Amino acid sequence: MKDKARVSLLLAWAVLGLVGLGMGQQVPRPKLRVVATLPVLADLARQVGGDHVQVVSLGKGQEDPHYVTPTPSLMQAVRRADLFIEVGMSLEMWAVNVLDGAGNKRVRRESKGHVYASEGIPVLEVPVSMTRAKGDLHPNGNPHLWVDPVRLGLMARNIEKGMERVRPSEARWFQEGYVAFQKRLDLAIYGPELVKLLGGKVLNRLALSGKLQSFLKRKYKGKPLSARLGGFLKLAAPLRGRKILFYHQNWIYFSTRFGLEVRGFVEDKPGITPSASHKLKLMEQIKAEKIKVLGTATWNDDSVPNALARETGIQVVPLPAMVGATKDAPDSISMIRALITRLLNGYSKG
Amino acid sequence: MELGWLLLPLLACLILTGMHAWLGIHILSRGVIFVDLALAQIAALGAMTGILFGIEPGTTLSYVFALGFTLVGALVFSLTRFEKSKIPQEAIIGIVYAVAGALGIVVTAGTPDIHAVEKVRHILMGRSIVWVSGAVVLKTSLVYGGVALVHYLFRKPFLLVSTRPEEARERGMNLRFWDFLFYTTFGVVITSSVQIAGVLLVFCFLIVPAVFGAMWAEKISTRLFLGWGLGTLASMIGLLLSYELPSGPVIVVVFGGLLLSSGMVKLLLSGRRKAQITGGAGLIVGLSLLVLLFASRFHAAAESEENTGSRTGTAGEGVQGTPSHKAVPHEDLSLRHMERELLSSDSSRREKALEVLRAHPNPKLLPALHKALQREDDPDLRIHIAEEGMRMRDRAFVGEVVQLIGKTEMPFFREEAIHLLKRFVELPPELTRAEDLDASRLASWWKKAGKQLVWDPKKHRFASPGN
Repeated sequence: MKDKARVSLLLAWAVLGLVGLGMGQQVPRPKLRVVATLPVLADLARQVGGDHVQVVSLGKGQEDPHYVTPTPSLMQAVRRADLFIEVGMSLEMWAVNVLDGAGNKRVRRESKGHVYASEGIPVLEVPVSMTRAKGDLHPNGNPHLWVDPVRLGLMARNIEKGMERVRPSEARWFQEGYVAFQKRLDLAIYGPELVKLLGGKVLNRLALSGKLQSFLKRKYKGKPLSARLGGFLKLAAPLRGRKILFYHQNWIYFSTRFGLEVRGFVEDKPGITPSASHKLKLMEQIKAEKIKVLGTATWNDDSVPNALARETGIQVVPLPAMVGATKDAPDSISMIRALITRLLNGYSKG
Repeated sequence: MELGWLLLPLLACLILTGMHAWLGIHILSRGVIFVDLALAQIAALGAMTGILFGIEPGTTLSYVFALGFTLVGALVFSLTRFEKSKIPQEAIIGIVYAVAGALGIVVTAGTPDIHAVEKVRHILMGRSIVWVSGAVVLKTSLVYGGVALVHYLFRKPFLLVSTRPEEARERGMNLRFWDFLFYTTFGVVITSSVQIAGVLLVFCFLIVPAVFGAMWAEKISTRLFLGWGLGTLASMIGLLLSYELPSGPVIVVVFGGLLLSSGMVKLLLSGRRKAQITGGAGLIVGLSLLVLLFASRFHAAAESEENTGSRTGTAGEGVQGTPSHKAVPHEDLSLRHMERELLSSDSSRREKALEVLRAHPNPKLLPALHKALQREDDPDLRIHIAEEGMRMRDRAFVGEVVQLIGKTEMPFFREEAIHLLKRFVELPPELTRAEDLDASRLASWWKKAGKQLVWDPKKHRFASPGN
């Protein structure tokens, strides 16, 4: 009798426990389906959305972002997407074809479910005059924003806003995800000490307006703030003022951030293999200015850089210009670290 | 697997098959196999030339340019069919292909608008069939419909000129005229079909069904039906296999596989022993290749052939240096403009506005400045705002700084605020004696003595008259 009572008590307790467990677990909402044009955007979306989102990238890390290999499965993903993210600024010219072809009204340009990750972000290389006298320069500026860690945060912010727009009920989650990512990013860029002293917001604003270096000369408790610098900016400090050649004009945001002095490009005109005279000019320039390093994206044609290396001894450094382009760049923050480390290695060899 | 995605691409493939199988019969008997590649290249050259005149690729005007160039190409091809010449027309076609391609590069080497050039390559050389939209399918079928009508009405002269030119000449037909008409209509078709399917796939739609038809039949109509059948089959199999793979190239491979198998079957049926063995062995190899392809469909997607040799990017030798925000224009100091900038949601614009304010103080902006301080979440800018307020001798900002010292979390800015306060306010010695200002004592001092503070023009500071 006693045993029976005990057993039934135990049972009742177990049942209650199970019910409690069930109530604690909310009914899982379907994950937000996000399609991003590029792996770096997909990574930012994952960082912000965590396990509330399911992210597909149309491009691959090893691919030139100007191109993408379309497959029906990717089209299918766009067709079902709740949110579509592209950089914009005419970088992914194929995106409009994808959107047209998929015919998904929720993610069409100008609709709620479409995000231009570049929106509102200060850009460089905007043509000075908008008259097309000098030819047809791209009016929106250089779109390769993601090699600047500070701008990565701004892009993540735009993505977060988009997620909030299509899923207002989960706004809190996305906001928290963004704030946590921004914090990780700030720590990675400036190091913990400066972030604690100044806060990421101020640091990012100063970095974007180009005033960070002069600001950091200010003193705090007898020491200049720059002595407390950590993170990428400290790691990349030896790069400041060093001369460099790049293959293609997609590094302006990186070189501006870390103070590299860009002396020229292997490509005479963007997208066109250099002429013989340009190659000769480059060789002379490399020798005269003692330029030690030539940075290329992993997908750039390496025949001309290698020829330059043979004849002048310049170090060719292949750089991951996209998340997933190399093994040391699995996500956006490690991509920036990989860029810096590879260049530092290049200079130490050169 | 849902099959909804198949609908538009399949429809596009069927339209392509319908038109190209017919044109392919002509191309095959004329022996001008690569003329479509040359015409596509010429069309691209046209659009690239358009860029030089500031015509955006993708617009109607650009299409007109492409078509115009194609007409010139058609003229060239109609004038270069020589009787019994040492120079086969394929040579001319190859030369036109190479020169048009090279000209495209040379022409666009002068333009800094590399995006437009890429766009042309994209539009005219290598789109993918899976990207096709309903509107494009409709537009293409209208264009093809028009061409098909012309070809239906004049099917007899067209066929005669293509298959038996000598006879046509004997009958007194103007060969140049019919050739020109043929290449013009052909060019119109190619310019739009390459746009939706890319050069590789269009080539296959054109040639493979015609070859297949010629393999099994003599009569033109039978060949046509055989070609249509093969095209439909290859499109369906190719699209189905390509879910994780680039569709265009997969269809091309399927075309190749089907044609190869058909060739083997032909050998098997030939009745000669040796040929039968070759055919059987070939068929087995072909089938196993097909199986391999099918298996690979379940593996990770492979790289596309459409994606070769691609690299390029932005144009612009643009200004390097500081970011170009939409900055406050230099001379606009109007109240309304400054208010808007001070209260802008973009922190760099607020920063800029504060700099302008420093150079051109204007006490009328004080209310806006108070409002800006209330909203500001950047501790550095808060200090800037308070500084400008005190500079314009608004005592209320002293109170704001006192508050800031109390609530700023970032140690550096707390210290900056203290510096600022010391610079603009004469504080009683008992407050400044300690190393660090005590926020609560400071606050109670402000409560007591704040109202008595006045600007002392000699000291350039706020001071209590009693001191």
